[in-house]
Amino acid sequence: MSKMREPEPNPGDAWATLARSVRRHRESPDQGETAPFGFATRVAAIGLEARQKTARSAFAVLERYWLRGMAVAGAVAVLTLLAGLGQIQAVADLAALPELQWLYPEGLL
Amino acid sequence: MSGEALDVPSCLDAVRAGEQAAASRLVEHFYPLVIKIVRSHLPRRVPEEDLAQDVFVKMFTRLEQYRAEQPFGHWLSRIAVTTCLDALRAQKRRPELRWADLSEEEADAMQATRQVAATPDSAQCAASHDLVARLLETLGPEDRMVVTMMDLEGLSVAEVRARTGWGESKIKVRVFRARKKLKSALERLEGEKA
Repeated sequence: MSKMREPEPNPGDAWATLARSVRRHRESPDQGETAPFGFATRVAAIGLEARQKTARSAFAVLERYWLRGMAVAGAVAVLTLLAGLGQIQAVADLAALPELQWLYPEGLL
Repeated sequence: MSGEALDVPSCLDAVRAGEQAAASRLVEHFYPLVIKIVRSHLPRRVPEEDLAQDVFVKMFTRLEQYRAEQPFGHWLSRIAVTTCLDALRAQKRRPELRWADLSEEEADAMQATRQVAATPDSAQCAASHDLVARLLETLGPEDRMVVTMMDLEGLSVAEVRARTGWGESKIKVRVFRARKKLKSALERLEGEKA
């Protein structure tokens, strides 16, 4: 992954020259660099807390809203039924007309 | 990564169980990897430790998404890259660079690009570094990221693909466009100077 490749030499390309120069500058390695004192402990504490918060918040949302969700779903179902009631009635009336009996197989309504 | 060996899978299990010592060990072990990526793509005025902290916090909160099929370092590298990309996106893009904006050292570094054979000294390298950073700030975040990886870090297309998750053609198109923009920015600077 860290294998470095020298860019293709291109004498006319100012960008390639600059990039080469920067790479030479960067090649002073920062390998073996350790985290500043206290960094790992602090970040671990913040990270674990964030982890717990994320897990808690997922459950908390479910816990808080499940009853409201059910109520809304029920209300929407009832409203849909009421809104469509007229149409349901109309279809039933139409089916009752003797001249349209052939449209509805026996026992359908 | 730190010299001492770390049994990553068991350390991850301990972290999942909420063990803080294991979490600290994980951060210490992967700090060199994360800080290297963060430094390569660091936006202006964002302290590197803050960005590294963001990367590690994301690592902890997304730990459940990690699948053991790929090495943990690769997975973490991708988080580091996307965090840097988000930081670059949040940063306002600089307008085009003018000759008058360059410091004396940066102007010298610009002159030195004509002398290809010469080996630059460390001061010249540092000035080139600053000039490159300013040029990169004129690019969009994705262009900047891909050109940094390929031209400054020397990664191959496959390696950039592994780090970013982008397709091969997207990477090639982006790097081509970014180099073209940089080339024309440098030509414009040359023109202004003349």
